[in-house]
Amino acid sequence: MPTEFDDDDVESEEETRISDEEAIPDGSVGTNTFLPKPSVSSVQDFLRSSDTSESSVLQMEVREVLRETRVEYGNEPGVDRFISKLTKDIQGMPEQQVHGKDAAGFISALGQDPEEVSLKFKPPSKVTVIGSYALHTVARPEVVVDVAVEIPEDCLFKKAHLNYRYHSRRALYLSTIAKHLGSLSPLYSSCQITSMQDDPTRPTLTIHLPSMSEKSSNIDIANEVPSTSNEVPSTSGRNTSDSLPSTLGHKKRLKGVNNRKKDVETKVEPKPYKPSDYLSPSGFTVKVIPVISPSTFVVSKLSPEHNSVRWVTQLSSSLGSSKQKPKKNGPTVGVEEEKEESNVLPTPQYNTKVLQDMLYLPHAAYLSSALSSFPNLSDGILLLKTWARQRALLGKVDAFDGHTLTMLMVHLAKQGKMSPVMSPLQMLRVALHALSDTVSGLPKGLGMARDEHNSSAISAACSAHPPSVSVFRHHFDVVFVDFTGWLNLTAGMTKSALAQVVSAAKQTLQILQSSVDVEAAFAASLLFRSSPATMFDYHWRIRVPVADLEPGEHSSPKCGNRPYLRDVESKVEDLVKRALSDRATLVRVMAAKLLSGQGRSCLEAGLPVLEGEEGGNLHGSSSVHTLTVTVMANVDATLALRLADVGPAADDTKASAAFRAFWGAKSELRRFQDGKISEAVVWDCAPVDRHKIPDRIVQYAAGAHLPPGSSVACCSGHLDRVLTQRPPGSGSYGSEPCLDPNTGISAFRMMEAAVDKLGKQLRSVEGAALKVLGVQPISTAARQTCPYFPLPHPLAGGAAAAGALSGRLPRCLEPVEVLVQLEASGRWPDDPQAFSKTKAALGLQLAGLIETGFGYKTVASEDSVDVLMDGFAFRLLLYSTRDEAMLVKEQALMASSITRNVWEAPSLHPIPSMQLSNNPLVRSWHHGLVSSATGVNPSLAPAIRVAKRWVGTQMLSNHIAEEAVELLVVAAAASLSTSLPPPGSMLTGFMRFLELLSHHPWSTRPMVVDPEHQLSPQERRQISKTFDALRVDKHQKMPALFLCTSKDLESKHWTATNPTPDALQQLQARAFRTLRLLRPLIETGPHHSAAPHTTIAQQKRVREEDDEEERSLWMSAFCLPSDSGAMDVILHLRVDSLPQACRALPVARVGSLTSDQMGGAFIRLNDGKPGFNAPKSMKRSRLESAYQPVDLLTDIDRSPNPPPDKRARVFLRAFPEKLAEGRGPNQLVPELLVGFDPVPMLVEALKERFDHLAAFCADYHGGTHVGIKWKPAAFLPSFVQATTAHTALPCTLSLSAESKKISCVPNLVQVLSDMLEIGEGIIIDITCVA
Amino acid sequence: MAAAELAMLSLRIKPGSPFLTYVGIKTHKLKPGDLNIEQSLFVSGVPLNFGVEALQAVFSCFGDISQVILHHNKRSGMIVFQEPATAIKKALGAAASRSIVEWSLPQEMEEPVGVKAWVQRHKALRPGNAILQKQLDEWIDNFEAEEEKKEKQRRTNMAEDGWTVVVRNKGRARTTEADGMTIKSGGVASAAAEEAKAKAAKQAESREDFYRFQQRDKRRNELMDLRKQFDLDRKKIAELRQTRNFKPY
Repeated sequence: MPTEFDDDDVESEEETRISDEEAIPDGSVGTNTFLPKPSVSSVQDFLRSSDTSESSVLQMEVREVLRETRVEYGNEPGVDRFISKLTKDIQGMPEQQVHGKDAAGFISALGQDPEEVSLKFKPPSKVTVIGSYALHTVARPEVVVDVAVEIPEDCLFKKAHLNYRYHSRRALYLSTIAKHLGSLSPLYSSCQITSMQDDPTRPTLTIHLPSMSEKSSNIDIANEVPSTSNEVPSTSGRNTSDSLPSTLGHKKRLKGVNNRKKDVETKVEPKPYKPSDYLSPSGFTVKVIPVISPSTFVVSKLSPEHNSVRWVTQLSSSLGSSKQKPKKNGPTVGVEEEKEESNVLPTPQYNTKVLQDMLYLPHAAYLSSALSSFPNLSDGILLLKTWARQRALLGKVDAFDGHTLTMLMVHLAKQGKMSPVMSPLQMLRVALHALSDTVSGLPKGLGMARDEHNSSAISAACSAHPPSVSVFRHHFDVVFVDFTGWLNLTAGMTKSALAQVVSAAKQTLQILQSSVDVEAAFAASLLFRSSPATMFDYHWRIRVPVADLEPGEHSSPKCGNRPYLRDVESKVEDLVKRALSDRATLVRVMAAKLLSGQGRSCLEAGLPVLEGEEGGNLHGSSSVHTLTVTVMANVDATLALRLADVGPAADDTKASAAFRAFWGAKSELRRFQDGKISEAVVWDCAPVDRHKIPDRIVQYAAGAHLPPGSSVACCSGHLDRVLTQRPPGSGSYGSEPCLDPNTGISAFRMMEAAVDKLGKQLRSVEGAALKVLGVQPISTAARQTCPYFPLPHPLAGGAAAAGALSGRLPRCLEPVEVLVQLEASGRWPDDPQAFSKTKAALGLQLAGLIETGFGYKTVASEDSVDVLMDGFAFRLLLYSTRDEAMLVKEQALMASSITRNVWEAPSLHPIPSMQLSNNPLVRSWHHGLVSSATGVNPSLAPAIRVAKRWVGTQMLSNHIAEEAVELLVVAAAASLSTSLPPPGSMLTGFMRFLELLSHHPWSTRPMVVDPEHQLSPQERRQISKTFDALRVDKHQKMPALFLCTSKDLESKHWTATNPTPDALQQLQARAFRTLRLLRPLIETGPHHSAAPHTTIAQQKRVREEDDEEERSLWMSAFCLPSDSGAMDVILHLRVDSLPQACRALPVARVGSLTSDQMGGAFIRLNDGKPGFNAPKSMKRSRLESAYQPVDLLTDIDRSPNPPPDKRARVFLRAFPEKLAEGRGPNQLVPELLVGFDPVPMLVEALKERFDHLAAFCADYHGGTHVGIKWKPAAFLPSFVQATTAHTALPCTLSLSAESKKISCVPNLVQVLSDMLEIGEGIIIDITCVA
Repeated sequence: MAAAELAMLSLRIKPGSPFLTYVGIKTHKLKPGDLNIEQSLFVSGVPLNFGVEALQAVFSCFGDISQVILHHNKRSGMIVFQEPATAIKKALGAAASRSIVEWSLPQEMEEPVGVKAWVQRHKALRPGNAILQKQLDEWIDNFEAEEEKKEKQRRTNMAEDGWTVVVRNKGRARTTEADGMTIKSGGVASAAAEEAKAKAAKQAESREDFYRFQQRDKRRNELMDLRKQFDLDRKKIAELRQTRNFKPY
C-alpha cells in the first residue's frame, strides 16, 4: 500500500487537484492541510518496518533491549588502561623457579606429590584480550574481560598432558602470577583464584574492579597505612551485595596506591594515572586465563577416545553403574603410564579441557575474523545471550557459555543461514531453530566446517585427521565440533541441559510466531527472567552418601575423567528420568556450582569444593562423604497424577525382566480391563496425596538404586497444610485436631452427587410456569477452587440428618450457587425491575413445587431460592434467555445514573460496583472460563486454592475479588506471559501467580486472560487501545489491575473498583516478599546445622527439629510480616461470632519466638465495652527481625474478654451446645443462616463510614482480625467538609476572620468508639500498634 | 451565591463523658425557584445511630422544628424551623461561642444492635415463602396497575389529538377497537424488516467504487489513514520507550 505514494497515478492526481484547491481557498481537501508531509527518511523508516504497527513496535523493543545490554567500547578508557597496565605487569615478571608446595593441597588432590612438582617460570609468550570483550559482544550487566596468558612451551614437557600434570603446572603458573600481581600494586588487591566454568581443576585469576560511583563515594576516606601484604580478600563478588566487604577493604588499599605511586612509580611511568583512572562507569571483572599454544601437546592424543588419566579404569564402582570411578591407588610417575593398561577407559572430558586451553587463541582469531566480515552478527549474539540468560542457561557448568553461543552464531552465518540484512530478531529466530531442531540442529549434533587457514597451527603440529563425528557422539551427550575438528564445544553439557534448551527454544519460537500479542510475546521471551523454582514443577534434593573416598591415603584423587560429583549427577539423572518415565516432560539435574566462599587460598588447601560436596573432608577423619544432587522436573500435569505405571506385557520376558530389575518388589503382574496382563507399578494413595506421587516414585527409586542411606527431600507437600480443614465450629487453632485431609474431597464428591440429583429433580418438576431446562453449579466449590470445601451439615437434610445431633453444630452454611436455566418465553416484562420481580415470583413457585414434590426445606428471598438437601445448601439463581438483554439495559441504566451522579453529588452516592459481578450470567461466564482451564490442567485448581488462601492470610481478601485471583492464576499458567510450559504442580502454579502479580507492569500493560484463544486480533487491539486511552485520561478512574477476558474487554467485571492502586502495591510487595521467602526454600532447601551428630538418637532429634523448622519456614510465607508496619490498629473479633473461625491458620513461629516477645507495643483502648476509657495499659517489647509474623492469636487468647451485651450477642460459629440439646432439629433449622458472613459485612460497614480515613484489611477465609491502616493524608489538618464532617475534630472552634473555615483533624477517639459501636457483638477488642 | 462555610457545633451525647461530639452546620441556601423549603439548617457529620427523633431533640433547643429530613446515608440532613431566621442565627451563634448542647442518646433496650441487627436483616429478607409471595404479588399488581394507567394516559393523550395509534407487533395484522379508538397492530415481522434493511445497506455499500472519483478518494483516504497510523505508531513508540523498562536483568 505505501508504495503507491510514489505512483504516477497519485502524482498526476496531485496535479489535477491543484485546481480544486484553488477553487476552495481554505479548503480542507488536500492531504497537506491535515497532516504535515512526512520526511523522506521517516517514510523510509516506515517502509522498512513494513506496514503493521506490531513489527515496528517489536523492532523498537529489540533496539531498546540491545541498547541496555550493549557495552560502549569506545567509551571505556579505564578498562583499556587497566588491561595495558596488566599486560605490562605480567610480561615484566622475572623468570623464577617455583616449587610445588605453593599449591600443595591442589597438587596432592590431583594425585601428585607436591615435593616432586616444580615449574621453571618464564614470562608468558603472549598476553592478549580474548573472548567477548575483544569481539565486542559483552552482554551487560556483567562486564568480563578475558585476558589469555600463554604459558611458554618450554615451561611444560611433552607428556605433561597426562594425569593432571599439566593442571598442576598450570595452577603453579597462575599462582605465581597472582602472587606477583598482589605484591606489585594494591590495584590488584581484589584478585583471587576462581575456577573456569566451575571446573575445580582449572583455576583462573579474577580481578574485580568496582564501578566508579562505588569508588568515588569513598575516595576521601582518611589516609590509612596501606597493607602491603599479598593476601587476597576472602570473598569473591559477582553480585554487588557479596562484594561489598571486599571492595571496602580494597578501597582503603587503593588509597595507599596513591601515596606509593607518587614515590615509586613516577619514575617508571611517564604519565601516572590515578587509581580511579582504571575504573569504568559500571565496574568490570578481568579474568586471567592461562592458555597454551596449539603445538604444546600432540592433538591426536587428546581426541575423545584416548585415555589421558591412567587411573580411570574399568573397575566396579560403588554406584554399580558403568560409569567410571577413580581408582584408589594413585598414579606414580614412571613406567606404568608408558605402557597403556589394557582396561583403561577414554577420558573425553579431561581431554577436552586440555584441548580447550590449547585452542583459546586460534578460536579468538577465528571469531574476530568472522565477526569483522559480518558486523551485525554481534547484535544477534547479544540477543541470543540475553535469551539464554533469562532462562538460566548461560554461565552454567552444564549449559552454555558465551563462547559457545558466539560460535553457534558464526557457524550459522557461515552455513549461509543468516544474511547481513537480517534483523537481530530474525537472527535470534534462526539460532533458536538451530538449537531446537531435532533433524539438523543441536540435538542431532553440529559440526563446523573445517577452516584450514585457522587450524593450520594444529595441522602443522599433527598430521592425523580429526576424529569423526560419530566418535564425538559416542563420548559426549551433546556434540558441537569446532572448526578444527578436534574440540567439542558443548562437552560439558548434559542430556538434561540439552532437553531444557530444546524445550525453551521451542517454546520461545512458538510464542514469537503465534503473534497473538506481539508485545506480550516479546516481553515473555526476552524481558521475563524465570528462576528454577518457578520454571520446574517438582524439586528434589537427593543426598547420596559415598563411602569410597577414604582418607589417609595421600594420593586419593577426586578427579578422574571429571569431578566425581558430575558422575553422580549423571547417574541420578538417568535414574530419575527412568523412574518418572512419561510423567516427566523434562528432568533437569542442576549441576553443582563451586562454593564461592572457598576461593581464597584454595590452591594450598586443596581442590575447590563444589556445592553438593559438603560434609566429608571438612571433618577430617569422617569416612562418609555426602553428595547432594539437585534434581528438578517438569511434568505433564495430568500424567503426573496417574496411579499406575504399566510396564511390558508378561509374555515379553526380556523387557519384563528389565522392568522387574528396576522396580524390584514394587512391580507386580496385573490384569487390566482390556484383558492384557502386564507388569505394573501401582502407587496407591488417597486423592489428596496424588500430587505427591512423583515424590514417592523418586524416593522409591533412590532407595532402590542409590547407596543405602540416600535420602530425598521433596517440596510438593509443604503447602498441603494450608488447605487442611478442622472440624466446623471449632475455635482458634490448636484447640481441636485437624480433620482427615480427605474429608474435603469426599465432601466435594457428596456435593457433586447432590447437585446431580437436584438437577434431575428440578428438570422433572411439573406444573411450573416455565420449565427448567438446565442446572449448572457456578460456585467456587463446584469448580474446586474454594480454599475449603463446604462440609455436609447435619441439619440440612440428607443421610447425615438421621445421625445423632451431637457435637457443635455450625450455625451458618455456605451456599453452593446453582444456575437454573428456564425455558424461553416471550412474556417477560421489559422493565428491569419488573423483570427481576417476576423472576422472584417464578423462583417462589419453583420453591413451593420442590418443597411439596421432594420434601426439601426451601428458603426463598427476592434474589434466590435456598434449598437444603443432603447436607448442603443450594442457592438457585434463575436464568432466562432474556437475562442478557436485561443485563445490557441495566448497564446502560447504571452508566447513566453514574454520570448523573457525577454532576450532582459525587461522594454521596457510591457507585454500585458489585452489581455487575453479582449477576448470575457474568458469573456463569466466569465459571465456564475457569473450569475449562482447570479441567485442562489439574494442577491449577489446587494452585488457585492456595493463592486465595494466601491472599487471605495477607489480610487482603477484601481488596481483590476471588474471581480475579482465579483469573490471575489462569493467566500465570498461560505460556504467553512466561514462555514456560504450563505448571504441573500446585506449588509451581502458586509461584507463577506470585511472580505474575509482583512482576507484571500493571500500570503500563493490560493483562489479557484468554486460555481458549477466543479473542480476535482486533479485540486484542481494542483492549490495548482502551487501556491506553484510560491511562492518558486523567478524569476517568481506571482499574489498577486491568484484567480482561473475552467477555470483558474493559476490565469491568472483577477489578473495576478493587484493588485500588494502593492495595495493588501492597499485594505486589507481599507477593514479592513471599517469593523471596519460598524461592531459596525450593531451590536449595533450608540450611541445616552442619555439626556432626554422633548418636542415632541425637541425629533423629536434630532431624525432627530441622523438619519442624522447615515447616514453619514454609508457613511463614502465609503470615503477615511484622516489620512493614502492616497495620496501625487491629480489631479483634469474637470467635463465637465468626462462622469460619475454624479456618484460621496456625501462626508460624520462627526461631525461639514466644508470644511475649511479639507484637511491638500495644495500647489497649478499652475492655471490650463501648465507651470512653482512657488508654489503660501500655506494653512494650522489642520488635523482632523482618520475617516474624504478627502474632495475632496468642494475644487474644491471653486476655479473655467478657461476652458482649445481650442485645448484640449472637452465636454464629455454632449453636450453643445446651441449646442444641434442648431443642429438636425442627426448631433449629429455621435458625440456620445460609450465606451469612459477618466479616465482609463489618468491613463494608466500616468502609462505608471511614473510607476516607483508613484502609481496612481482612481475611475472609477464617480471619479472626480486621486490620486498619490509616491513610496518612487524612491526618493532616484540613478544612472541614460536608462529606467528612462525621469524623472531624475541630482544631479551632471559631471561624477565623480571614479564611472563614475551620481546620480539622480526624477525631480518633470518636472514630474508634464508632467502630466498636458498628461492630458491636463482633468486635471485642481494639489494639493500636504503636 | 457563595456557599456558607460549615460551623462546628459541640454536642455532649454521653452524659459525664469528657469527649464531645461535633456536627457541622450551615445555612442551607436555596436555589432560586425552589420554594418548598423556606430556609433551613444543613447538618453534616450526624453522629452514629442518630435518627430523625434525635436530631429533632437536639435542635429543638434553638426553636420549634417543623420538619427534619435525613439523607439516606444518615450522615447529613436538613432541619426546617418554624421560624427559620431566629433559630438558625441562634444555632450558628451557639457554634461560634462554643457552647455545648447536652443531650443524651436514649438507650433502646429491646432493639438489637450490631451483629444481631445484621442477622435480623438477613432473616427479614427471607420472611418465609408465603409472606414473600404475598409481597411479590402486591408489588406486581401495583406495577401492572401503574403501567395500565400510564398506557391509558398515553393513549388518551394521543387520541385527543385525533391520531390513529398504529402499533407494530409480531404476528399477523390485527385491528382492535378500544374505547372508541382504532388500533392497528402487527403485519410486519421485526426480524424480517431488519434483515431487509441490512441487505439494502449492503447493496448500497457494494457500489462504492463505481466511479473513478470514488476510487481516487478511496485511495487517497487509505494513504491518509496510513500516514495517520504511522504518526500514531511513532507516538506510541516514543511513549513506550519512556514508560517501559527494557532492562533484561
